[in-house]
Amino acid sequence: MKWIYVAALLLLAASSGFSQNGGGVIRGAVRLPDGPVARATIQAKHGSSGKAFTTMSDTSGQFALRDLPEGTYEVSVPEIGLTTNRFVQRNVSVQPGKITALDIVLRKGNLGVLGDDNAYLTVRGKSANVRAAPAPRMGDGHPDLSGVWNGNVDPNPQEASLLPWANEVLNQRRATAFRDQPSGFCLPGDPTPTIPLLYRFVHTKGLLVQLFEQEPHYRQIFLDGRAHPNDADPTWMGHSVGRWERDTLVIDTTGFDDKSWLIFATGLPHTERLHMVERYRRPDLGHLVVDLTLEDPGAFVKPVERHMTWELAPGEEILESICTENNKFPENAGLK
Amino acid sequence: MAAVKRAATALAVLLTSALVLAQAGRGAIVGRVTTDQGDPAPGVTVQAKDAAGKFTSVVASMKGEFRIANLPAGTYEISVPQMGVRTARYAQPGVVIEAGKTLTFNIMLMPNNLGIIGDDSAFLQIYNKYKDLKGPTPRTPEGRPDFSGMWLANVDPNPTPPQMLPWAQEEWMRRRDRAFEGMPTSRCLPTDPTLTLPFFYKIIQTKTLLIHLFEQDPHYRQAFLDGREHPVDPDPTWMGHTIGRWEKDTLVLDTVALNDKSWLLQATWLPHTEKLRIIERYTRPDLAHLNIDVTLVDPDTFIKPVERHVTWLFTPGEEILEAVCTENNKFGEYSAFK
Repeated sequence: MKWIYVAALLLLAASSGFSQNGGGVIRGAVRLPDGPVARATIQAKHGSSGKAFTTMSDTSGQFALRDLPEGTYEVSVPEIGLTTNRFVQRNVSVQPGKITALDIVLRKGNLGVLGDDNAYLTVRGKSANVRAAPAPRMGDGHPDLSGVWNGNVDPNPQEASLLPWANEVLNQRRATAFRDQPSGFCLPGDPTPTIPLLYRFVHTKGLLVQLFEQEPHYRQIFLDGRAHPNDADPTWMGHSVGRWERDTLVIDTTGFDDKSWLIFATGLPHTERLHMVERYRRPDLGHLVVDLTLEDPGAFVKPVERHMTWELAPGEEILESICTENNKFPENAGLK
Repeated sequence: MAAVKRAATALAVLLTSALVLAQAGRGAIVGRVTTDQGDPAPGVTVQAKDAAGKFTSVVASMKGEFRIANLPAGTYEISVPQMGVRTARYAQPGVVIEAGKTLTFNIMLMPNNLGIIGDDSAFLQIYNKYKDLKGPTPRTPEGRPDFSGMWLANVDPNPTPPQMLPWAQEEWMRRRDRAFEGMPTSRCLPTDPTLTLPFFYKIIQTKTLLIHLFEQDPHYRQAFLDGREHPVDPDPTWMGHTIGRWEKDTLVLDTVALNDKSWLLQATWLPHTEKLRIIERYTRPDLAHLNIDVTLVDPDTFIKPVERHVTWLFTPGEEILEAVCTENNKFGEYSAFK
């Protein structure tokens, strides 16, 4: 008697998932031409409200977004690692009580021959096993940002509003498949923390050092209260100082040269007036929330923002990476 | 009475110095150290080595002048250790000091083979700015010596020649004959995992990690202090895999898994195999100095381990600068081989 009652309740609850909320489902699989993609993030953004629903594909690439309010959605999958392009499908219709089937085929990007996204997804799999625990803290009580982090892209990047000259340069760069980007010549490519590769943070009271696998391989952020120098020679990475706003480390960088291309897979031009503000927050052991603002009145109509969540990558290490020894860019970019 | 006492003391001093010169047969050497441009070389070390291998050292004045008094008569090697990156080590054997005489001996330092690169006056200026810094050894909360900070590295003032197997000796001679043409640095590759360039290094030390930052490729080295072992079957790399452990107040760093492409020891540039092991022993006896004993072991290259003993100087007001080799590679045009 009792068992039947419980089972009936469960059945009712299951069906009410559709009927009460009037919700629908988007279901399908994520794959690349050579096979399914596990641990891809799938996002459905509701057309009229702008509300975003997200889920992750399972090991066979399957996913289901449930309890979606009726309407049309923009379904997207952010870039994965270095080579897989962002996927966007607009006007996906969801009706109450119905399942909308959507198979997502991801494509490799212009520079798709470089890098291996399986490695990225493997690291993401390890990150998923990090226990839920509070952020570690320094002796002075501030969050300790130390660790090896798996970088990530902004899942919802906003198109930058550029001044006409900058827009022209960006279009030119896109038209030539970014083949002249500085990293193609083993130069530092990008001072922004937007490349989806590993970063090691070494955090001490007076200094935060970031190590990474691209030129110039390290970056210093001074936490000892010093100010920017008055008349510094411009450099690729600029001059960075940090201060705490409660549990958020706010890093301010100026003193840039105008040679770098900004934001991974975006390649924005800029001037020496570039001012970068990064806000780092570690809400728990396994995550680092990175909010980036780029201001440059000589290039941008309004500040460019990126919002990313990095994952702790336990057991991973920064590897020695010598661009001049292993520069495959020119031949892969069709320059040779 | 006091005047008489002073006179007596003065007389005694005079007598003593005369006695020392006469009795033990002592002499002196004075002179001036200049660069090959004729500029004084302030603050350089001048050494006199006697037949038994004993050193007497003085530091030249800000005008480059030096005086070594009270040297027993005999034959000496007068030397000035390499300083900075441009100036070669100076050594003149067979210098005779006669009893009761003062020898005037001026020294002109010559550039090394790669002499056009770098500017040693900057090195000397920085060295002289910090050389009198005093204070106790800083310590971490756990009580270990704290090596963190900016350091001006220096070379071994008295390097001993390496003893190498024939293939390595031959390769080394070939490199010297060609003025080190083709060294990895000239192609913006990492050159030397031994961290012996007389440039700046920044050390960042935490409980579990010691980082070196520097102005050459690959710009950083990690030494793991968290108790991990070397990997079992690592891919060889330019910088290898470094772990460290404490022996009382000495940090012992152990590096293996090195590829065989690097050239070892600044201005020496020894070849080696993948069997190379680098042991570094770091001690900080006071605020201003970091003593590093480097031992290079490679049974396929060296007949016996090669050792270097260097002392770095604490330079807290300096900073590592961004150095991008691929943007500013002047080696090719400066090298005689272009």
